[in-house]
Amino acid sequence: MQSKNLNAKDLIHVGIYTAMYLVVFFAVGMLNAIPFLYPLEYLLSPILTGIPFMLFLTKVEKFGMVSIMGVILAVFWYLMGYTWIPALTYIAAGLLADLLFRLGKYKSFQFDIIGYWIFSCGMIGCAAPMWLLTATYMEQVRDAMGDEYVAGLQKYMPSWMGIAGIGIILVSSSLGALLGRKMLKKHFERAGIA
Amino acid sequence: MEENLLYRPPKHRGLYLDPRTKLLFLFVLATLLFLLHENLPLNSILVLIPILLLLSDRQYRPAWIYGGLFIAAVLAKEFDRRMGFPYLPAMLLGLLSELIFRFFPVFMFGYYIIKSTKPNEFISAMELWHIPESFIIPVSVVFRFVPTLREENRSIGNAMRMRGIRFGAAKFWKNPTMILEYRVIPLMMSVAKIGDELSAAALSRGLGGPKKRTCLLKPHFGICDAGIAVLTGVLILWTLMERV
Repeated sequence: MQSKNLNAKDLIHVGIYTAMYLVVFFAVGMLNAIPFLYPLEYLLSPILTGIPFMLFLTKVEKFGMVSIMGVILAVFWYLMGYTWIPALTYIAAGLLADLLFRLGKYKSFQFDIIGYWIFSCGMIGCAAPMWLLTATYMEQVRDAMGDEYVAGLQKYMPSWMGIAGIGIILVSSSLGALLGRKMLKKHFERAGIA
Repeated sequence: MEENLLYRPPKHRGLYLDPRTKLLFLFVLATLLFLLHENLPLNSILVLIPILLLLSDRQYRPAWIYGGLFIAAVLAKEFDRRMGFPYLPAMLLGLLSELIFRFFPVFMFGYYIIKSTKPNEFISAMELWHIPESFIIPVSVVFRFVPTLREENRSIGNAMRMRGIRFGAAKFWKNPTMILEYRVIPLMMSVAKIGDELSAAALSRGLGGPKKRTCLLKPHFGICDAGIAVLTGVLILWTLMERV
């Protein structure tokens, strides 16, 4: 086996940490059932997914692993009914993040933070149908959740939140990365896992 | 096709659908559910399909539970339209029925796919589509892993309950971030370990070896797949007609 290509072990790691990421993400995602907690998701998700992601990064040494994770998540979001927009943002974010990690040779913590930030920004795509496809998407949400929910969503998630989201995620993903690293230091390295 | 004389794959229960049909139909379902707009008959059909398939696979429990939930949601919606609930219950009910109408068909179909498809079969079907291995392996690992995660999570929950660490307990309110550390970290520990074991097991069975993988089970399209194809055509036409 050449060391440059991804081998079976790498691919299995991608699968495992993608599952972990999804589970943590969904646990936090339950919050957006309540409109005014929606912006909080930008704050909480990157912090909490930071732990699995940082552990994942300790296993990443080759280009492609983070991109594949992005593609798998993209397929999931599409199937979950979030339309094609988050699918696109997740693929793009995965690729960009992977390039950044590569610049840091998969070792540098600074690049890890920036890459994780970019990767988390893929999340903005999940709310993007609200702003880009406002007419059809909101109509549908209105059918299902009632006028109050839509009014709440529009009040707490105006379209500038998309841009502000990048900033919020910068803060929260740095916190997440730091928390993840702290946890790695405290628990995993001692146990010899990371 | 060469028949193997020593081993014959077990017969399928109920309808046999090619894994490729299942996957394509999953995408169709997700797309239709997004395009759908306040159309109860069509929505009911989209709900019925996974239920019928689950029944044909003898997954009675999930099928009945889901069917019951759907009927309850329809009733609740009808009741709400006639009488009108106050704000908070209406929102909660709306949320639940939204979940049941829009997300559950995909969930249930996904559940059906996972329950009725052997990973082996799934991988060989994906190879017929020439999807690269670097995508197939992680996806099958995700499917394989989610039930494991749930099981591990339950055991860790039990262990922590013994120590009095629980959502809402007195200890929890003193230090809420504790729950994160005591629940997520052990989970990730066991995940990391299981992951290493899984890759060792897979490697020793020749995954990622230089030789091309073979499979005794040859996925093939049959009459049920044709039926699903016709059904897909009808559903798409119906949805488009609604939107015009």
